[in-house]
Amino acid sequence: MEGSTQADDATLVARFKRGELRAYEHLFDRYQARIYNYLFRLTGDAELAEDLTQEVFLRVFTEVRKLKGAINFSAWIYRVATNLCYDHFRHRARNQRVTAKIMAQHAISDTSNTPEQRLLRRERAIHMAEALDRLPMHYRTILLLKYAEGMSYRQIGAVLSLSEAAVTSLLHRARMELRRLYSLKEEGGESHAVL
Amino acid sequence: MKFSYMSPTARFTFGLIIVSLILMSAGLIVIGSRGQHYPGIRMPESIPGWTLFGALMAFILLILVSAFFTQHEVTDREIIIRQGILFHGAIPLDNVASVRETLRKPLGLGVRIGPDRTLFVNTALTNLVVIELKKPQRFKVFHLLPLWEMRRVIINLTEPEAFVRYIHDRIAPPESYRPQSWA
Amino acid sequence: MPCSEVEKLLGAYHDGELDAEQRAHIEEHVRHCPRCAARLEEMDSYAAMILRLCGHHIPPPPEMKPSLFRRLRRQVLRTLAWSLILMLAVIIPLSFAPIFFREDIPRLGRVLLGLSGLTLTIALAPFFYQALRDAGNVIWYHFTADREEE
Repeated sequence: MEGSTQADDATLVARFKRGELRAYEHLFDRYQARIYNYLFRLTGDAELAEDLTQEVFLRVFTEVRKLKGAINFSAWIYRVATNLCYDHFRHRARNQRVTAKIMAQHAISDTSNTPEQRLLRRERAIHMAEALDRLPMHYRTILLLKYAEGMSYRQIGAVLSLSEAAVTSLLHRARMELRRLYSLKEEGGESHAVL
Repeated sequence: MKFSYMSPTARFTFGLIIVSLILMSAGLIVIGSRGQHYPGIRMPESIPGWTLFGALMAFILLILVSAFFTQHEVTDREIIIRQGILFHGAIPLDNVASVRETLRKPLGLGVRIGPDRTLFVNTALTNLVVIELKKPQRFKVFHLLPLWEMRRVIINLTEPEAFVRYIHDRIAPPESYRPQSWA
Repeated sequence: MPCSEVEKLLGAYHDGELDAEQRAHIEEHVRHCPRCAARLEEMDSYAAMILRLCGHHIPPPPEMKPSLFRRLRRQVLRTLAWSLILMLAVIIPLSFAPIFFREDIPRLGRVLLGLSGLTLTIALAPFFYQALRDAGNVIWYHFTADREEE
């Protein structure tokens, strides 16, 4: 699956380099939703995610043609998205509360259990969302790339310019920090009302 | 390991710009030597003036041409950033907090100080990498003139991703995950 | 194997990133170590929670695509305009005008300045060409897209 997608991307990129804007449009259609959702989870702000997504594709237009040789387009576009996001937040703090609410809201659509179980799951979802929100950017990024985007270590390494061993190490540290923050939330009994 | 900051296209463009400057200077000198001046351009009118003009042009050309012959370098201990005779700075790897590609759009080329104690050492407006420092560091221009302490340095490279990956392999290297007993 | 060593690899094991030999070692350890087994289970529940939180896909706003292509068109045309201004308003008058209009300036000087301008024009020509090409591609795309819609 990954192989055929990469081959399709390579074909589109080659056509775009020759000046075919239709190929650019196909690339946009293919990656728009993924990049938008990734940026939304990373930033916690739908409007900002939209702006940054547009900026990503404007960069695709100006930068892709300068890339030589075989390009791993998927890794490249995620790298651009991640770096644009980091550039944006170099002076600003991320809006942490919004993400937690929105993400937890989508996670709590569970009708199969008892009301008590549903309440417990709801609280846990909120705690996990808040813990994710409080993670430093680079830990949050790698966890999202792994679990939300479903990337392998090799793919994550291609996005973040890390070796697989470094990805393993960074993921391990990210999980440890997430575990610590989540435990604090659970122990603190901090519970926000249902959204 | 050396990393170039001038692609063949950049060399072509800058090379022609330098040739253009040389031709322009020569043209102005020829015109001035006949006691005339190019419309709109104030030319020196005495020998000391011409000497100063010549020296200034030679110095500017030296700065521009020398940039073609240097590269950035990463050793076991430090990142050496170069731009001809204009700039030479070394960042110990111990002082590197993070390194990544950046998509900021700088306003110019050369060596400049940006907002929030950012040092730009770039010959292009794309393919930029930002090196964040753990502790602010002082750099010098022309190996002499000190700048303020900088928090980060932004440079351009022909292969920014390879540079970032190379540095990542050297700073905070991962612990070995293959215990001896498994070997 | 000490738990401290295994713990570092539990994540990679959970994510299916270990080779067969490493997997076998981890599985062997986890079979006999309740602490690591509990850790693995915890990792599983965390992953499931994150997946539930992030698994929901939010559709991007429908106006993003037309807005992007409008921005692209503006950007490309703006770049072309600046390239044109640079080429026409700055370089050509500076370099070629004296050859035609000022006979009193020494010829060698005029030739050198003309060559200087020509060299500068050649240096910047690739950028101008690229800006022209981009503008052409974008305009052609919009033209054919509009005709398809009709």
